[in-house]
Amino acid sequence: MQNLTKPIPFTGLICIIAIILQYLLQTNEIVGNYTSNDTGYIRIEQSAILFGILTALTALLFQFAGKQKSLFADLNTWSFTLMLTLAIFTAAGTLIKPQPVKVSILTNVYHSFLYTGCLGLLTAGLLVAIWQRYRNLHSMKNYAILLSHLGVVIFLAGAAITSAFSLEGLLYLNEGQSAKSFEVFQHNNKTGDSLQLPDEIKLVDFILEKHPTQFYLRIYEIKENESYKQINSYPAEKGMAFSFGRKKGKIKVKDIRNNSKGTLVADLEIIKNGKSYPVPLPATGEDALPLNDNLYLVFEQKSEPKLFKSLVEVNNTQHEILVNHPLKIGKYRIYQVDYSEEDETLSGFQITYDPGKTVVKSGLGVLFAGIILFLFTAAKQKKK
Amino acid sequence: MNITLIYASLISNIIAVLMSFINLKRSDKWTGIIAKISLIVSFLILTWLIILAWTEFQRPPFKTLFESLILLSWCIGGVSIFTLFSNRNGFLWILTGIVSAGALWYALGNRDLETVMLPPALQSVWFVPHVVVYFTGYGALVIGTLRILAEKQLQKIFFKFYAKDINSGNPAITPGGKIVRIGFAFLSCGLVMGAIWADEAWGAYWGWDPKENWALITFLTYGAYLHLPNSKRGSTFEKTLLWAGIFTILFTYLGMHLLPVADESVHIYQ
Repeated sequence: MQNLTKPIPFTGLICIIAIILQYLLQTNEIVGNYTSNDTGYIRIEQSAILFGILTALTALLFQFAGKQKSLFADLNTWSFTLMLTLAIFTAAGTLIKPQPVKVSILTNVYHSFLYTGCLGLLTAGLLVAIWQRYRNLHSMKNYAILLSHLGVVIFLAGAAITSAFSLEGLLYLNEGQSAKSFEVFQHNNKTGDSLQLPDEIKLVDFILEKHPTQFYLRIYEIKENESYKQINSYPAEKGMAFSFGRKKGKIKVKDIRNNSKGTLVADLEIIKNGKSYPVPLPATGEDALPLNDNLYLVFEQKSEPKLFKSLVEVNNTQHEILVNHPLKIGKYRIYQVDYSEEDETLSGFQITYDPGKTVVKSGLGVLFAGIILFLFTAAKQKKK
Repeated sequence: MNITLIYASLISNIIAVLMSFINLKRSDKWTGIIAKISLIVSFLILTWLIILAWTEFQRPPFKTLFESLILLSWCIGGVSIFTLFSNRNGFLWILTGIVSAGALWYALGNRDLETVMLPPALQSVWFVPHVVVYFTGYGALVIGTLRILAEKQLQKIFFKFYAKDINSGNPAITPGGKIVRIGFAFLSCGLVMGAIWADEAWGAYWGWDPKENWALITFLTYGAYLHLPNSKRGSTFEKTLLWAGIFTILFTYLGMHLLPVADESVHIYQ
């Protein structure tokens, strides 16, 4: 147990400092439907402080029991504790729905001082590990470990820059419309602001291509709690037949035709209990045909987007923006992210600025090199 | 997808498991050879199935849960072939056979009801490498972890008779330990590729999406395992951590819809 106790006091210390800082820096600003004066929040805030104090007290207890001498005496223990702590906090973050206010670890785990504090401590451990390997570069394996750890440090440095300075905004344009500014939806203190683009952007054309429409006859099961589950699906084609309800009934598709209103209709023959019933079922997706007590048949269409792209004009030059193919204007990158089913001339863009990205990508590159070197070393060892 | 080929691969895996099991007990030449051939045949059948599906759908068949389970089984097959060159991996082949067959069995119960098209975000050069590298990482981590756990937890009960396949001592140098390290390298590679792809598609390399967070949790859990202090090797704590590792992989893969924040994710299987 002694080995495990060494980093705990520091994690605990960071925890309590983080919670106090978070409490002191919190303002009474109204964000969304919440204010920090809401009773619910005060309760969460108190829980966070209690949590911090308990962790710190436990840490101090271990401090006495451990009689720690050196901070990095056992680097494995240090890294191990922090990684496990971060794993637990990350998992907690997926169990707590984040609230639209800057409050505490219990409302937004990943942006709390505690979480970033742990990342900072982990970085300290990584730097020591890098230094140790650097002084002992006699094998390929050490180079691999050095590079992979260095990659993570560079990545985290880039992530810190991203966290402090990056911004994300949205811009919606109809064909023929142009804009010189966009609305920021994510930034430390510019959320909701309107920012200027270096050049005016005009949406010349928006193209939405869809995969061919498919028509399905879907069987849904209604459960006791009134929820429903799709249990089977058949492509709607003239002449096809399928059974339902443990083969007690059968459905034959006699014809697929357009009715007088232009709606596609499946002319079905339902065979049940030795009797046959003709039923016309329109492809509205809303008309559910009861097959027995808990099974329903619905005729639905599926139309999925295949591609959506925007032809834009910036500074008298035309460019294409597609999903996975952004456009760079000055320091901003413009991404194709949205379209509208109702208005097919409307195009949605995400605009980002992130000065940390180059550092992050360099870190990922170094990490990747370290991993490849590690795999190469492993393969070489295997050959031996 | 051709269901007959899935059944053929499943049967081939079962034969590999049975033959590896008999081989552990008898140590004869032929059962070992049949086990190896069965594993290779199973892998080749799945390779053929994936090629056929790719041609039929005109897209990589890695989109739905059903397709991903086939891919997982194929990746596990790849990991087991990687270990075929050593003769001391008999128990490992039992594990790969069981996990691979399990994935195929689960896939058969979760067949796609409708043809699924590829949405624009997945039409990227990163799609195939990211998914294949990730699933190889998953496969290797599960197999390696089970191998270490089997060494540790079942030693007294199960390996009383099969002690020749057991390596005691530092887990880092056992076959299981090696595979976990390689699996971790693949997992890290998959994370790197995912980050680069996300940046290209959405303009952010990390979005705190529940699935991304659980991928990070898997990375941190196995990262913690690899940094486990030597004094803790072989302890109950290590076993718990390894079980936690398997849980994080399974939960990241199959349990995301259970989270209260599931509706915020863009990565959950429908």
